[in-house]
Amino acid sequence: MTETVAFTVNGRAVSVKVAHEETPLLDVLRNTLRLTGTRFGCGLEQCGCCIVLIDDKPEKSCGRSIASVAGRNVTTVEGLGTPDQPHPLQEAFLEEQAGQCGYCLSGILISAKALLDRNPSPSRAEIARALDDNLCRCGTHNRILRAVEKAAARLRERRT
Amino acid sequence: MTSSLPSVLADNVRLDQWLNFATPGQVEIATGRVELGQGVLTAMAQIAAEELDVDVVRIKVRSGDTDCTPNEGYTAGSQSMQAGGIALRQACAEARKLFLDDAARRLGCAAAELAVQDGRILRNAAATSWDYWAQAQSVSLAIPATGTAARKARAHYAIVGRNAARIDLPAKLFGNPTFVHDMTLDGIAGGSAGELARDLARDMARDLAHDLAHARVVRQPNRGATLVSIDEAAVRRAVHEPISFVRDENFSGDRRR
Repeated sequence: MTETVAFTVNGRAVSVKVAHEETPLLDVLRNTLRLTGTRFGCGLEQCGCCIVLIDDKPEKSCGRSIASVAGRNVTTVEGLGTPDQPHPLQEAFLEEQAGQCGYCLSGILISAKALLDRNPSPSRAEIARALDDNLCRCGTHNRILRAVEKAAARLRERRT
Repeated sequence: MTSSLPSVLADNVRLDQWLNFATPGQVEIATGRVELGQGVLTAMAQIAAEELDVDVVRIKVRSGDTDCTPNEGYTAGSQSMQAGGIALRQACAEARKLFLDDAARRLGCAAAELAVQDGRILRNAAATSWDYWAQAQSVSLAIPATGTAARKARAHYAIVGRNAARIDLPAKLFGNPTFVHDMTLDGIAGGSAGELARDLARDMARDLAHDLAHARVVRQPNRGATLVSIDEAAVRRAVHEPISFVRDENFSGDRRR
């Protein structure tokens, strides 16, 4: 009954054994690969805490079976940047102090990255729409919007 | 004299329960309060920096480690600042006074001539060769607080009441383990689904060795899965303990009989 699934996480090829092909990707990330940056919020695809990139699309990893990511590229918050080499989004979130409890931030950073990858100059309304699936109940929404705008501007500067 | 101490400081009265200067250039403070997103660790660092007259970046905060932080009970009820903060503030004020009194003896002057600037002792605004870390070997903080040191007057606050960068935020932005369920005891990772008996036995053996009651949530391997059976005999054999299991539908626990 054990299945082996091979895929790529943050550029690294992995092969994991799971008890069932329907095991959620989130469980494999957190429990098997110990990539706990992707948080478990509701487990019901409602809160967005567990959003990761599958290929280039933001997806809720609690609702994705491990079998469905076989051969795909998964990017988690650990793959965005490090304190020494932060992604412009992480840099901007720090500068804007955009976070209170911080539980939603991994999912928000990933959703924002997906947005900026496809739209380098989003309006504030477009940013808000892209983050609509990410719940934050603390109240740093305006700081988060400012941080995404700042990261977008910085990425545009670096490209020119 | 201890009657005038803040109650949390009276409960955890030794100054070295609250702070130390063991690492040159750093001040380690300890708090029994934990970060829940309210920014309490940053606020504690600001309080200590203010009272000790050091730059806030020199403060390292130890929190939630019950072996080596003051027992302050729960982090709840908006008590962290008003009960825990005032205790830390008083502890730091007492430590500062001990260091100033020590420096006055060394310099042969009155403590009133001295001030602290980012941890360095100044005499009539001029540098001396003393600072907290140079004196730390001889100024023992393994003594009880007395309640006799005056806390800094609010009018002189330069750090408290101003914005400071949240010290918990970087870990949250880089996806580091920072929430309780990201942590593991003794470096043991969470179990993989489907190897229930082995995982339970391992966790229980560990917890029983520490005389801990054991409870564990085992996630189903897929949506809609239900708990069919647990090999209780296999778990008992593995832990060599007469334990009993409690089960309510899909929820299972176990305990020493």
